[in-house]
Amino acid sequence: MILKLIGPLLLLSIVTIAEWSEIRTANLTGKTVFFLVLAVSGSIWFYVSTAVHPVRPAVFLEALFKRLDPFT
Amino acid sequence: MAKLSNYQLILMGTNFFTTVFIISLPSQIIATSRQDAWLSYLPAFLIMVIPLWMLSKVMHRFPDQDLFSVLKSRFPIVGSMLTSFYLLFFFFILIRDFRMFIDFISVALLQRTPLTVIGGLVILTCILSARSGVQVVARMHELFYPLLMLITVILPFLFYAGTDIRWMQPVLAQGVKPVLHGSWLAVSYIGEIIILPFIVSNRTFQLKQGLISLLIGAYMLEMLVVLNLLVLSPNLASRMMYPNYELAREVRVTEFLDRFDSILVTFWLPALFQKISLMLNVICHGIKQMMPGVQERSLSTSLGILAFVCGFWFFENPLQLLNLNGGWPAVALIFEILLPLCFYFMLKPRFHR
Repeated sequence: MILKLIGPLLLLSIVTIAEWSEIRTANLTGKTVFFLVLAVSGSIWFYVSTAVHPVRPAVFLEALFKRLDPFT
Repeated sequence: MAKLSNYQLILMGTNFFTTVFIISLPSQIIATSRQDAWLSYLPAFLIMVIPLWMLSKVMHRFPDQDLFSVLKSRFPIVGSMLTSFYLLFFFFILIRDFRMFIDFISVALLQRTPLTVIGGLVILTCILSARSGVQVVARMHELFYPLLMLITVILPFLFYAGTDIRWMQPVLAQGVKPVLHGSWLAVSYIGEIIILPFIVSNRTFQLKQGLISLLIGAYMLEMLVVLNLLVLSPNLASRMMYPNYELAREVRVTEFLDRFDSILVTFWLPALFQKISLMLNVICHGIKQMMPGVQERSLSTSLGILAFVCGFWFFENPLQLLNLNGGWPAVALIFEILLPLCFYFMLKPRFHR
C-alpha cells in the first residue's frame, strides 16, 4: 500500500520541481489550479492501483448512452 | 490568439476527425452497414456542413475573437457555463483518443511493453508539444500530415490486383436503415471539426477552410473504407479491431515494400500525437479564458497528467471504447450541432448608441 502511494507522490514531486520556474511566478489562482489538478490525478491513480475492482466511469456511461442509441 | 495560415488550418481540421476515426471505427461501421459502409459516410459529412456554416457566420460577427472569448464576453455567466461544458466534452474526447492510441500501440506494435510505459511516453510527448503552443503544433502538421494524405492517394494503386468489386455489391440490399446506422456512428467523430473556431478567430477561420478540410477528410476516409471492403471484404473487416492497419499489412508490391504498415505508422502516429496535443492545448486555452490567472504552460502539464490517469481509470479495455460509440453521438451532437445552432441565433454583438 505504501509502495503504491510512493509512486504517484514521487511522480508529482518531479513534475512540481520541473514546473517550479513557471509556478513560482504564477498568481494564487494559477498555483491553486495546478496543485489541485495534480492532487486529483494522484488520488485517482492511487485509487485505481489499490482498488481490487475500481469503479469505471465507462461502465456507467455505456449504460447511459445505450438508452440514447436510436438503432438498438 | 493563435495566428495560423490557411494551409495549417486545413491540415489541422482534417487531422482532427480523420486520424482517430481510422483506428477502429471503420470496423464498427462495416459491421452495421456491410457493403454499403462507403455510403454511410456521406450523410455524416453533409450534415456537418451546417454547423460549420453557422459557426463561420457567428465568428464573422465578432472579429478577432475565438469562440471561447465570444461566449465569455457576450454572456459572462451562461457563457462560462457553456465553456465548462465544452471543456468537459473536449476532455472526454482527449481521454478517449489517448486511450485508443495507446491501446493501438500496445496491441499492434509493442505487445510486451506495459501500457503505463507507452501511455507515459505518449503523454509526455503531447505535453511537451502542447506547451509550445498552437503554432508549433500547426507547423508539425505541415511535416507529417501531407505525407499521410499522400499514402491514401497511392494506396489504391498498390492494391490494383487484389480487389474484388463483388464485395461492394449489391448496393442498398438491406435498405437505408443500416446506412443511417453507419452515419450515426460516424457523425460524432466527423463533427469534431467544430473545434476550429475555438482555436482561431474569424480572421483565420472561414467556411472555406472548414469545407476544404471536410472534403479532404471525406476523400481519405471514403478511400480507406472502399479499400477495406474491396480487399478485406465486409465479413473480415467487420471482425478486425484495426482494419486499416491490417489493410496496410496486405500491401506487398515487391520485397522492398513488404512492410508497408511501418510506413503508414510512421506518418499516422505523429498525426495522432498532434491531435492529442492540440486537444490539450484547446482545453488549456479554454480554462485560461475562464480563469485569466492560470498559466497555459504549467496547466498543460497538470492536465496532461490528469488525462493520462483518467485514460486508465475510465476504460478497462479497448472494447469499452467501442461500446461507447453506440450512444455517444446523441451527446456529441448536442455540442456539434445543437449548440452551434443556438449560437447562430443568440450570439450577436451588442449595439451601443
